[in-house]
Amino acid sequence: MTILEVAQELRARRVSSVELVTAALDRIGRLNPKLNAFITVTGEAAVRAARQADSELASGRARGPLHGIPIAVKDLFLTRGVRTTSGSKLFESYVPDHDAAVVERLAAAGAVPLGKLNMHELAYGVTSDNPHFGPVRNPWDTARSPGGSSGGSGAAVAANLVYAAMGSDTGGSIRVPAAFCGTVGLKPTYGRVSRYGALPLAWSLDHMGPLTRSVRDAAVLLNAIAGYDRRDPASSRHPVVDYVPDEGCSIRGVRIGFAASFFERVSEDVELAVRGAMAHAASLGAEVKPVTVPDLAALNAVGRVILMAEASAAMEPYRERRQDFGADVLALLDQGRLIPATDYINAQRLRRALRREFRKVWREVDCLMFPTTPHTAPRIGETTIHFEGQDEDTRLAATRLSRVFNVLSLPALSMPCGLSSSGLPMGLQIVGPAFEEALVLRVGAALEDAGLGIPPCPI
Amino acid sequence: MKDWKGIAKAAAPDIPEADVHRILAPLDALEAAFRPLVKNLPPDLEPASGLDAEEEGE
Repeated sequence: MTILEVAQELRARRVSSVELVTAALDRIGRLNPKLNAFITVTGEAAVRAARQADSELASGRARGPLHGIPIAVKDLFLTRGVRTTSGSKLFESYVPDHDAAVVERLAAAGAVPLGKLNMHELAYGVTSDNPHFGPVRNPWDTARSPGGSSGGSGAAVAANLVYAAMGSDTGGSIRVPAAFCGTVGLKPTYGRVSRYGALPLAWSLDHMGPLTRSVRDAAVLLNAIAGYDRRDPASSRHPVVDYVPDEGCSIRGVRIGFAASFFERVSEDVELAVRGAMAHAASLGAEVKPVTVPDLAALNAVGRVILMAEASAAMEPYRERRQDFGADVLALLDQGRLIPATDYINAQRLRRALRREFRKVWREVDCLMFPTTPHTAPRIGETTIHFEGQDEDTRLAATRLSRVFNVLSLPALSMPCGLSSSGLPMGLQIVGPAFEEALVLRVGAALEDAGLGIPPCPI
Repeated sequence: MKDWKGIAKAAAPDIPEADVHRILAPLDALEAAFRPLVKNLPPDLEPASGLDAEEEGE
């Protein structure tokens, strides 16, 4: 069931929040030993919150579609009184005294948090093979990675442990696990959702957003968490709208662009699925047409220089604790320390130039469609992917089509668009101009209404 | 390519030599991708920082 469906059941008193939470906690008890999606489960607090939600609903004080719904957040969102590790040994005993902005907003919307989700160490990677808390496993095939860094979020939503989860995305960390786990994942425009109280990886690239089982559910979450927050210096005052697409929404006449470069070094299964989704959109009346976009390789190089420099700066206070970092994260932090300041500044200059260039795309089309990742979930520990006779680092391949939109700060939705020949989920990415989340979600919802998607995860 | 070992010795002497060796190839790869992009940047091109809301038409 989706959030919107179960919310109707709650409002009609056909099910209670306590029943939903108890069922979710039972399922977590059974499946978390296999998936390792949660670092911390806050069962007792969840049951108390569910009782409160039931009481409010019974007295007619409904707070909206999230009221009484079990959710969870990635373990980099500060939670008052609940340990927040960021998947790192550095913070293994850190108990914050306040909540992150999105945690506050979800609580205000009545959502019931069940705990803190496992992730790639410090959100700095895409495998979620965490050296301190153990690897998260993909519910579709537990020998495979769920992607990352919000791997626990993707696994928990796909395995039906929670109805929605919060993630963060610095180079694809919401969208990659969404694609690998067969969920929806939304990276909103930079500044749309407050970063306050989320442990940072790279300040100018970090975005916060939801992972859900449907496009409309992602919109429900965005309605709850979007908006200005003076505590986040990058927070935008751009007006917030109702992001939930209407039932039967149309995409007739919407101009959808694609470029040949979106399909370079992409697996055959993924290309077929994404081209199928584009054909689906065309059959619904969208105008699907080729466009020229700026160099994706340049955008990736710029993004990696910015990421490495900012992440190493953020972790500077901990640089003497080398033994407390996993090998892959330590190597990235070491690289960032050797990047000259001139390169960081020039990367930010290039970023401005590439953004200007990219804005021209929106004169020709309303949104873009292409794969979220070039391949399906790799096996845990698999470090190399083979494309067209060439080897590519799994981490770089997985983020090649997503990091671009962290650099450009644009809203990007990943939604399931099929299963590969080996039965693994594949993701379609829909990207729009800044602050056009409503359009991106409408396109996704129209495709979902028309049958694009995958069956529930069989775990 | 840059002398990463020399840069590490000067700027980050606490990174053990074996760990420096481990990051040479990825640094070289990034340098190869990035260096050509910064040639001929116009001097009036300023760094971006986050999202420039004014430019985005906010």
